[in-house]
Amino acid sequence: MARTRTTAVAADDRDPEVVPPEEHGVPEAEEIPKGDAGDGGSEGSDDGSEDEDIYYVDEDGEPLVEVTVPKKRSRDRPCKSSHIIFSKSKIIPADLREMK
Amino acid sequence: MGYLESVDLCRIDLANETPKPRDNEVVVFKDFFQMGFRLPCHRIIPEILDKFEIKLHQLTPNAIARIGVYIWMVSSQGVRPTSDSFCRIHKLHYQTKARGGSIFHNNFGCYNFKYRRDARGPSIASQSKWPSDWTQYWFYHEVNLSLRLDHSCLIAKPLMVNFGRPRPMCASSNEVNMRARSAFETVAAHISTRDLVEEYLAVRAAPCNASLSVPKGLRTTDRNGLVTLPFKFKAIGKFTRPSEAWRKYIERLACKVVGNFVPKEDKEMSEHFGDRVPRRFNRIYNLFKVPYPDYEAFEEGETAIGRLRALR
Repeated sequence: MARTRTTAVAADDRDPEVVPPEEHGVPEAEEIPKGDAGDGGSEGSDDGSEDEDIYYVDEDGEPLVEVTVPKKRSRDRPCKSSHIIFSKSKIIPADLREMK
Repeated sequence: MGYLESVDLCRIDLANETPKPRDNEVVVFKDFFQMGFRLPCHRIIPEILDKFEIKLHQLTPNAIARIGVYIWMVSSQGVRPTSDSFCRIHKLHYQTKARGGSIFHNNFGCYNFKYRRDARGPSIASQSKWPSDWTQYWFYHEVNLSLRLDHSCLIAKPLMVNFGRPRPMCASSNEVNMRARSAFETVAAHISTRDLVEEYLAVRAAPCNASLSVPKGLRTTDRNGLVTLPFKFKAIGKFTRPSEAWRKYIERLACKVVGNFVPKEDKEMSEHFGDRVPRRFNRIYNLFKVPYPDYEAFEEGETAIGRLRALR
């Protein structure tokens, strides 16, 4: 159910600006469970503590959409460059042939 | 393995640390394909990426699996999955390790999806162990020019640092989206993620594939609202008919997607299904009349590795 009638627009967090690393503090990255070799995407926990729900309603007061404005902006993790630096690929032709 | 339509559409780059895709190429990780990713991909995948404002190379393999499970949950009920419904059920989860003890974080292979607290998702199973170098197995895959309009959201050239939107705004109240949401919740209430993966593997479906289709015709609906569509058995390897050996083979395939059955999943199922016996429910095994044992609960202090050793 909608809790609040509002015409407010959620704060736009789409700003693609890349902030230089030196302007950041220590990032608040998700902890990877101990023992995991790589972070292929473990489930983690969802305590929802970092988010704030906003309820939108249409003209008739019916819920339209629900959005959340993150308090911790996950974009605020420094990256080394505005270009993405991967590691060199280890894929060899045999890998592709095997995948076919 | 049947993951790639043609090797000719792929290009290896052993020289660059920063991928430099051409105009019609996407950067993909090898492990995406193990988790069910295919190109051309299902129409909702570019839409999902667009709504969360992320690129394909930023997903983790488990995120791919999560999309596939969602598509199967809704499609197997005979309902059309939608990106809006997916976005309404999931939130984006940024997950990386700091690199080399520094404060820097990767901007690739870093986003997973989690169910929102109010989404009533299925009992979860997921692969938790990955080779530490899985992100080093990447290559370029050409996107067919005729598909580029649909797949334009996949293409990123040049690759730039980008951060996603954790909970995008989405239309959730129209009929199509509400039907998808309802189908998702109906399935989630009764079938675990592991069984869902086994279901689509058993009918040889790749939910993330653009060509995913489900059979039309006489369907059955049980008292819980679960739909069984009239799938026909498809032979796989030496298995030409449904059998116990075939079922065990499918179970092993599913472990590649969601990992082995572990105490955490056992506990999750107990919390999700309560005292229901059996906890396991698989529409495809039922359709093909293949018996399947229930998951054996872990004893106090028992580990998955210990159980595997005992079986050997």
